[in-house]
Amino acid sequence: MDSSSLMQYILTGLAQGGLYALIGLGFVLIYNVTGIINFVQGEFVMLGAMLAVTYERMGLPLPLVIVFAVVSVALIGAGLEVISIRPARRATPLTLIIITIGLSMAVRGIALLIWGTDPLVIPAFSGGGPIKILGGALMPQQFWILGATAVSVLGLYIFLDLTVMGKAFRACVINKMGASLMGISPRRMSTLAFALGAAVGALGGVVFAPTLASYDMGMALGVKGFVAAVLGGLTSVPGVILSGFIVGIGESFGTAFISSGYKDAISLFILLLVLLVRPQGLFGIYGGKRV
Amino acid sequence: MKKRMLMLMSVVLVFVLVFVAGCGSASTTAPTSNEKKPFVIGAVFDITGPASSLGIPEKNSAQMLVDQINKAGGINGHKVDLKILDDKSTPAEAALDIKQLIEQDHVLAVIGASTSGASMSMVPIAMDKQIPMVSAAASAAIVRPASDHKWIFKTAQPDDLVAKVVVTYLKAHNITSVAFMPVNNDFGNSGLKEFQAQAGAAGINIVTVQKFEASDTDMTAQLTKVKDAKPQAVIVWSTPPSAAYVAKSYKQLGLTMPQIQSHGIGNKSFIDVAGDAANGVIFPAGKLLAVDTLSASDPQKSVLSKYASDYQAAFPGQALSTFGGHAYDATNMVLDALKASGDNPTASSIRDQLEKISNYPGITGVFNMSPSEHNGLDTSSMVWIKIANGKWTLDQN
Amino acid sequence: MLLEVNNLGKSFGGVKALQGVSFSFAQGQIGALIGPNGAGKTTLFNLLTGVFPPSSGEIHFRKRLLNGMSAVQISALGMARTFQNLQLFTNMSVLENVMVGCHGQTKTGLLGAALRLTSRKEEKHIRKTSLEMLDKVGLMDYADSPADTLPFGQKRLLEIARALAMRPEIILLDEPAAGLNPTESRFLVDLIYRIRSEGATVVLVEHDMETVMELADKIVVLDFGEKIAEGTPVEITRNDRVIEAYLGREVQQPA
Ligand SMILES: Nc1ncnc2c1ncn2[C@@H]1O[C@H](COP(=O)(O)OP(=O)(O)OP(=O)(O)O)[C@@H](O)[C@H]1O
Ligand SMILES: [Mg+2]
Repeated sequence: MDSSSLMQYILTGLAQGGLYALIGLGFVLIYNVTGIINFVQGEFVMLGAMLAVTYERMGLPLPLVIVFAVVSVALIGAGLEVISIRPARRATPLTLIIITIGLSMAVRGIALLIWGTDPLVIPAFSGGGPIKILGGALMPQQFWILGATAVSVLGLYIFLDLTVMGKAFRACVINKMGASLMGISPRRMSTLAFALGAAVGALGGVVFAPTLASYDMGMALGVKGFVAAVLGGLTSVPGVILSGFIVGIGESFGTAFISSGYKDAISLFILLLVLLVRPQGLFGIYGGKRV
Repeated sequence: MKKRMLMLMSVVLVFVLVFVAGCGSASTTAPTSNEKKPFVIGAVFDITGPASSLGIPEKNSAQMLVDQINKAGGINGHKVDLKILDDKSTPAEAALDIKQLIEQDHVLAVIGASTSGASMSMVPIAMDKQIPMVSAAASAAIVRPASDHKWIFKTAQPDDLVAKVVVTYLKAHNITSVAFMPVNNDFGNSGLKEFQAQAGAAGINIVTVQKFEASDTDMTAQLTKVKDAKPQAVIVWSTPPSAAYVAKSYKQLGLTMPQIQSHGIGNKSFIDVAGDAANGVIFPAGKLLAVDTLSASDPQKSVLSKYASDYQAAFPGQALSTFGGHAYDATNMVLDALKASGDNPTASSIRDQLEKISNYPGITGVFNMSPSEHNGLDTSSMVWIKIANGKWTLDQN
Repeated sequence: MLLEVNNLGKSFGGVKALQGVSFSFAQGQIGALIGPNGAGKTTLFNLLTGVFPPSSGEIHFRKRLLNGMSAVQISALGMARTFQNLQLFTNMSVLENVMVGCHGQTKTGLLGAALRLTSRKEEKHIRKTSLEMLDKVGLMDYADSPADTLPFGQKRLLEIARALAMRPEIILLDEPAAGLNPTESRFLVDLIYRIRSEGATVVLVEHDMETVMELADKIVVLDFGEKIAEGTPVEITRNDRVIEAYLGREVQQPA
């Protein structure tokens, strides 16, 4: 194997890992505020991809396709929270997780009715051939994926660190009781968390839509994002991003040197191993929460 | 500790979820007639799941044919009741489906399934219950040897036939080293086996075999290995969408040797997903894809034209696919066997009629069944198609 | 009356933490709530601020019945508090903690926030007010330090600044002087006078009698969850039950 092959495995892993990181970010946002592992996350990705196809076919220009798809899914995410999570607020975390699993099945079923079973795609965001980097190659669309990850992290940073609402959001993560006595409604923040989680998931779906938009794509991607999130400790933004890339690169090398058939097993195996040795994840702080 | 439990719990849940998602059931039932007792036949297709791009045109084609027959008064005054079940692209569901069709619906014959894996899981049940089954899937093993598969027929070109077509092409183009990329399921693995069986004798060296999963969306890792092995051509044995991701990754890595795909990409979905990465791909296929450029003297010309125009009238906006053709042929054969069986057709009379089919022009090819041959196609049923500008064109080379 | 409590009770399982407590505080008063350890003072604050609902009785604030309202709704009516066991937002800077207190003054809705439409002007304004609050409690120099690096006494002051940022009608201080050195205590007393002079009503829970007697216009005394006395500092010092409650258990009082 020469160095250009090695580079290719790394690049492929990075591009895929960027998507996993983005999906994992949604898990982290929602988990931190609500304590829920939201298994609808993968379906938010699917909805983002599907709506991108729909809006693209309506003839909207690309920037509007992206914005509309992300905003639509954010609203869907907030709506789902209000109708299904909020009424069950007092339930145990496990019950809430099961609710999200049920929701994800419902969302998938509805998507099947709306969009059918054919895999759909939209044109790549920018044309042109592969871009060479140190002997490896990436398609322009894969840079869009990495860009979307970067934009999401930056956007979240701006929101969480530089706006009052974002600070209120973090306050709610750190100390829910204290925050509610400051007039910050944990219920609104839970809705906001779902909206944000849905938005970053949808963005992942939109940038992935030139590769695949299919009603059943959500679960596989959701599982990868979940692995990245847990690996990263579930509470840390830098942790989930790094873990996303670790999962992506691990998968790419696993495909090349073991078999692509085992790559899902490999990422879950890594996850189990990490959980047994370090239950708080690679980057988590035991017991403490941070965003 | 609580947190650790929660996480482990959720991992377990993920597994459960993945499993559960594969289960469940759905079915479509055609309305029954109220005159003479209807003839009930069954079909199992991959209507949802990764092979749905095969199963949907198959379902449509079978239903279209049955609707046409019923509109024309049925068979000898009997309406035909076609029960279609979805196996969700999984062999386990396919086995359950055929059991349900035979035991609950008492069907006279079963059409399907769409893929080799699903079909293979139905074979022992059809054999055991002695119900004729006509598969639309590729693998030769579904019907061979015919002596052990008395009740099983199939309409798609078998892999060994396609492998022969591919080997012939390679020899004609002086290609002696190839990389082989099968999808890791029955279709790909059977293609690999048949190709390996014939390549050696033809002096063709397989320098690397790189498998991928039907659900994969990025094949750059496998293709990087292919690139390192420096073959003269790459042979891909898969169905969309995974086949299309090979083409995409091929373009990404800038590979220039010929990309030969299989008959598994004979539907529009390949071009839709691969986009301009589809251009330049060549593959062997039934004549349906080249129906417009076919000479009038071709024995299949008229049946192909009728199917093409009927299908596009019944399902406007949906592209033709060779898979729909396989199911169309299978359904047509069963209906003709019913016709020839008189007022009281039985499973065994239908089976006997199917075995008598000869010189039968279908969408897939001209069929000649016999007690020792339950597929009955030869290499003349295939042509080479090249994708150029996002369109199928007859490749004359 | 600004704050009126009628026959208030709270039990935790079998434990009656509060029972039949009634009192009121008027606008602009500095009120004090005293009583031995475990008397139910913090529990009373928790009921007032909606941390948990009362088991019986009623709370009226600004002529509104608080029973059934959430902590968020009550805070919106103008009630702010500090905590005996600090509840700062660790991992956030000192300034950010105060800015969170200002959160209620932002007008941008949830959707706007999600879309990042909060106006920059509004944010600038909030930053400015928050700095003023920090200045008021003398923490200006620590604005950018992480909140959990502050010494204990200053954390108490930060909680007060954060509560003040909510622009409350009434501010409830739970043992604000505990753990403060004499200089800090002196500063605290001045601060409380200043808060009152700016129009807010103050209610404090305090063990240090000297501070209480100096500050309070009106004192309510709790013992074993029941009110045993109510009145001016002078009346309270002469009350037999109060003397008994305190002296009788002097031995068990922690230092
Ligand atoms: N959440 C709770 N659950 C159960 N019991 C509680 C709870 N909160 C308070 N208590 C009980 O109520 C009683 C009053 O406690 P509270 O904290 O109100 O006393 P306090 O007057 O604030 O005492 P201190 O001077 O020590 O702060 C105590 O017996 C305490 O154990
Ligand atoms: Mg207390």
